[in-house]
Amino acid sequence: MDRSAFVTKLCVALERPPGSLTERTPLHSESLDSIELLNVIALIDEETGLTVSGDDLKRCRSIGELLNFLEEQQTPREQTG
Amino acid sequence: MTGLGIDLERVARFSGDALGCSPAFLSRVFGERERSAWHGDPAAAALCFTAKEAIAKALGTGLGLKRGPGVPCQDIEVLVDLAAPSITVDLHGAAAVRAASAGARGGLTRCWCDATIAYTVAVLHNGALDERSADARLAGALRDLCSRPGNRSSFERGAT
Repeated sequence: MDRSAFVTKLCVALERPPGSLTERTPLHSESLDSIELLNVIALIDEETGLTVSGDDLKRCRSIGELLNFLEEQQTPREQTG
Repeated sequence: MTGLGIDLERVARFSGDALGCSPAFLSRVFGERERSAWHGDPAAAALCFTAKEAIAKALGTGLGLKRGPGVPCQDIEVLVDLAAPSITVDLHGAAAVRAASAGARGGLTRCWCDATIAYTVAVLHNGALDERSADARLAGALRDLCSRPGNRSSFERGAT
């Protein structure tokens, strides 16, 4: 997974200015409203084929932790190429 | 009454490049029949979303995607016709199962929208609730909410 590209798309999904999010940005998913949360979940589904829940997002304290979580969930063959 | 849900959204979030218009969001949250019924009107889109959200809250599950927790968005089908005006709701799949297990045999929605805002109140009931008394109770609750001093607060933007 291209982590940098994902962060860029996350900026769009959360209507944040380009470049305003990094892997170190805290992820306060509990402060996202329903449209933002569904947008993030839809983005993750589109980019990785994974389904995550609101509780999964709450366990990730930063965008970097979210990316680590997503990479752990992907099967080994999906991580190559 | 077996469940109650309310949702309110700004119409602007469903127009132009706003969040509610992203292709990934639209294709997963709404079915083709729902999107066709909007005829490009963001107010219809906003109303459709608030109805889904309100019903999901009444079901006690919240909204999710096809897989995973929460009732899949597309299992709550909402057809909005602003010209009529009318709104039609059908529960499928997990939403129908959840409603049945909660003892809900019927439901009603009360919706409103203009160019700025859309909202829906959704009530699920066990079949013993007639619409007139449900409307009277909802209207009474809203009047009470707006009239009692103890229910009010005001705050400045940015205040902690």
